[in-house]
Amino acid sequence: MAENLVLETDDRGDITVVSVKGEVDLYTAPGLKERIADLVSAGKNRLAVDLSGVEFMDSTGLGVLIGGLKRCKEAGGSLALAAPREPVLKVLAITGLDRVFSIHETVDQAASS
Amino acid sequence: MTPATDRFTLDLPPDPAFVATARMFASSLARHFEIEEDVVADLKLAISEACKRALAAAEEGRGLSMSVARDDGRLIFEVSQGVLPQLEEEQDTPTPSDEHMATGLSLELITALFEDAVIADDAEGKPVVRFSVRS
Repeated sequence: MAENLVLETDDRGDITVVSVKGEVDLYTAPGLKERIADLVSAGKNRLAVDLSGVEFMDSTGLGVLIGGLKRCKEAGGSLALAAPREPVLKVLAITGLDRVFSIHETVDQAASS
Repeated sequence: MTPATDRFTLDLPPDPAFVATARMFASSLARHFEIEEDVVADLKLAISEACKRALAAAEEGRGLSMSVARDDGRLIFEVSQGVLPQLEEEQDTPTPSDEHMATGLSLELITALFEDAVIADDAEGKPVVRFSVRS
């Protein structure tokens, strides 16, 4: 995984929180994609992705999140986004993906959704 | 960099690992010329998307090339490398639905952020993504 992206996971009941810190772009996004795929493969298909530590995300990162959402739904689960910062919210809004994802102000809200 | 003519250039290997370097280069110059922070954030996204397009069309032996020129109160950003799809084709590209998002979305993002964004030809006839901000 690229060193400028830090991923941590925390199981909260049947929800797994994936905390993402750093910049998500063409170079780092594969690490996030792999982590989500591994979790879903391990049966953890109810994910809350904590974006509070994401300073930057481009369309590659969005693509990974969309792919993760699809994987989770296909496995009978869900993928919610938590606490995105303004730059990430903006790119979600420009692309219309803010209407696709369940977006919450806090991780706790996302984990209880 | 070649600051003598108010034109700054950066040449990088065609490797995704250097996209962050391109963003840093662009944002540092923008801050130097006192561009507002919300515009800097847009600029970083546009540069990242332009680099993604350029890398997707990478030709052997060609690196990722970026230039910033100051002209008539504007900073003009250019990112180039290899053969990129034409603008007309991109406009018909549907919004991708998974992680294999097409480079069309990159251009849509750039034009959403900077209305004057265009794909032009460089001196060698290679496509260049160009847009500008007021400085």
